[in-house]
Amino acid sequence: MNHAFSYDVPIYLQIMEIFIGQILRGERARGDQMPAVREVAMIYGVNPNTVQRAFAEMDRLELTRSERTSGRFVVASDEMIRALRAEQSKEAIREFIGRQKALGMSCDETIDMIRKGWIDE
Amino acid sequence: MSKLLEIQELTRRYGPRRGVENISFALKEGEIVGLLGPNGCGKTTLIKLVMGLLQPDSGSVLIQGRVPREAHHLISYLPENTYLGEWMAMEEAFRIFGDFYADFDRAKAERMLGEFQLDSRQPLKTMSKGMQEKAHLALVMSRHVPLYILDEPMSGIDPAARQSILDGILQNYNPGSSLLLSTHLISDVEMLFDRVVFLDDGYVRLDRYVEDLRAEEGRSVDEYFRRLYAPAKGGVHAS
Repeated sequence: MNHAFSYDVPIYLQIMEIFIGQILRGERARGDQMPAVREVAMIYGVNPNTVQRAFAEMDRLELTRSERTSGRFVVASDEMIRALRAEQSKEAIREFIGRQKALGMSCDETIDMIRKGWIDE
Repeated sequence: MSKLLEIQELTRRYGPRRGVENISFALKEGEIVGLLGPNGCGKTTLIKLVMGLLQPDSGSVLIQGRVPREAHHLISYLPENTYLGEWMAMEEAFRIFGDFYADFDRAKAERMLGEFQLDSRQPLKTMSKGMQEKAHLALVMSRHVPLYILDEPMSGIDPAARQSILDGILQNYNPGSSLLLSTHLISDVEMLFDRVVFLDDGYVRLDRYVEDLRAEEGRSVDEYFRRLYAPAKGGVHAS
């Protein structure tokens, strides 16, 4: 697979983003098994230690948990998922507002544009 | 992680010419390290010293505590230039490797050759450079050893073949083994490395974990080295 990584940002963060995104969208639900480190390394063509680091970080955030014998599973609660989604959404909006302000757009104009754009999408 | 390869204060000169100069670094178990630098910076000299094919003027190399000439069973080596007869087909090469190395896994070599879509009966001389490189890689990666050393496995090969060589390395090295890969092409391979050691005119110019470099510099490894080198090209070259 050819996922376009940015080489100027740590790769493990980008791998976390991929898998956290899947959890936020419900593509990987609580109780689902995560793929093996080696498998992910091969699919994305990255160093296995990098994948290990990304997964260890997700364990630390308590989104996943590694069971010694049976593998790694998604354990994120609905509450955690909601909180994480809200946090990431807030961050995206903050960035977006900054750009709109830089263009000289008002709040009302921006909201108008969003409504139109949302329907067109 | 314990040390698999330990290089200490290693120097080797060719007459007045510099080969490698006071090099020290260690490779841990399970690490994939890129040995980088422009042509002529000392990469191949360093690798030959690790392999015991050259003797150092001073300093030491230890592989799991052994000197190079007692460590041949610990290292699988892909040299820059072929050592196989060009009349040879991979069938013969497999037989030779099987006779020579108890750790050679013929089934794995055949599987790799299949993945590369190569025919084990085709003589090497009728293969393209990229095909030959893949065939060699299938041999070298099919030994079960703690350390793989690949000297410029992707030079002179088109980008598509490069990618398939990279995939071949990633899929076929034993987890827990270490890999030292020399290359002057950084951008194609930087996803592979835990760490890069950059040689410049025989010296270690930089030894750093790539994810730290990306986080701290906000740049890719490739871009970082380009910038590092930009001023040196002006003619003020520190020695």
